[in-house]
Amino acid sequence: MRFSKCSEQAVIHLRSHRLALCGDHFTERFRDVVKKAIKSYRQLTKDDKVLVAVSGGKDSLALWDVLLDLGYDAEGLYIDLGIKKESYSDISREKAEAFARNRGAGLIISDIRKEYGMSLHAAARKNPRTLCSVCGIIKRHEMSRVALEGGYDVLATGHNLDDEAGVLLGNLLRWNLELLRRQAPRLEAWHPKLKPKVKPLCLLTERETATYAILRGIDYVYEMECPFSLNSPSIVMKEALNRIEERSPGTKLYFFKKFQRHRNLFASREEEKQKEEGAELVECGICGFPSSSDRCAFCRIMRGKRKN
Amino acid sequence: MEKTLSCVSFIARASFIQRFLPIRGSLYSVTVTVRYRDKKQEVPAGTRVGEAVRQMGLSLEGIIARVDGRLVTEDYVLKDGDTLEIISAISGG
Repeated sequence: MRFSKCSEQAVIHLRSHRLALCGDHFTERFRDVVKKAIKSYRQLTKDDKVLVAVSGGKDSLALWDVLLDLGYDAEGLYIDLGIKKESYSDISREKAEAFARNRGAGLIISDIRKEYGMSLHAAARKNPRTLCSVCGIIKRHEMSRVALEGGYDVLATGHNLDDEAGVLLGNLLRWNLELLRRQAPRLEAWHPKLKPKVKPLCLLTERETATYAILRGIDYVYEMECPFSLNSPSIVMKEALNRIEERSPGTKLYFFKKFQRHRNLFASREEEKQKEEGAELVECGICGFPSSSDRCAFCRIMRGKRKN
Repeated sequence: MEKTLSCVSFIARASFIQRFLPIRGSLYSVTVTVRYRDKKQEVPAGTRVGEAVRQMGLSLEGIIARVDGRLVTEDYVLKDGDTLEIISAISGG
């Protein structure tokens, strides 16, 4: 397949856009789509100090790379959860550190074993929640803590179109209205200690971010996945959507964009809104972040064992 | 535990026959080895990448393909001596 504009061999066929692009034109388009998402959803301004949550995978490193290229003041945060299985944390941390070195960008490492004295596994063993649920609580807390302490304006994550469409499908299948209301390309901060969260890759598929990462020579963790994510519901949703996409190109993008346009259909009714607004939030007695009780979920799990 | 195809790389290699017997037809074959889970599959030379991917039970939407390290689209025709690598783009968590 050749790309008609420049006669170079195409590296990717975007069926949903009826486009086959060579490496250079694909990279250019990738940046344009990120710019479009940032502008359309008012995600960032050039004055923002951005904290990019990086995992060592293709999406977060591609996001960091493109934000740096677009001239944003973007620094990375890697949360080391101490996952020993398949040396997952060590390998992914190395990828994030190597990227930061190569690009001369600042990287903050939050090692939860050093900070709180226990790994994800140890924390999950003491808690009735699933390991993935505990992981989510730890990551959300650490992202908020580092963003606040570092004086960042916005927190950016590498969620892509497949992530967003998959979550949307899952929430719709369960009619989880609360989560549907909250699924947005920019989540505003709802407490002075929290920062807005943005997803600049939300209009790009995983296939596109992987292609971009390879073309840019980004060394990401591609031969392994979080060892606990195999058979996760999110992968089931993504595979189902990809089957539909193959038969009907453009479905994922249409699904996500139309949802964003009509998201207010899921907005709280007046009495629910009042109830939600009236729900009393207090500050956690240990970490000070907003919580529904005097100890937040994170501190209940980690027992507030932060050192130093 | 049921195995999934997430984060799996597949390698297609030209077989010994294909490399050293320059004859046409079905004897031209490409051995596809699933690196991650040790699966093997053969496809004849002349197969398009898209067909090879579908034969592996994968969706074109969830993978990227490289031949000898170079990114290719699904219409690329596998030739004698080619090495096809199929990388899963799906990540979970």
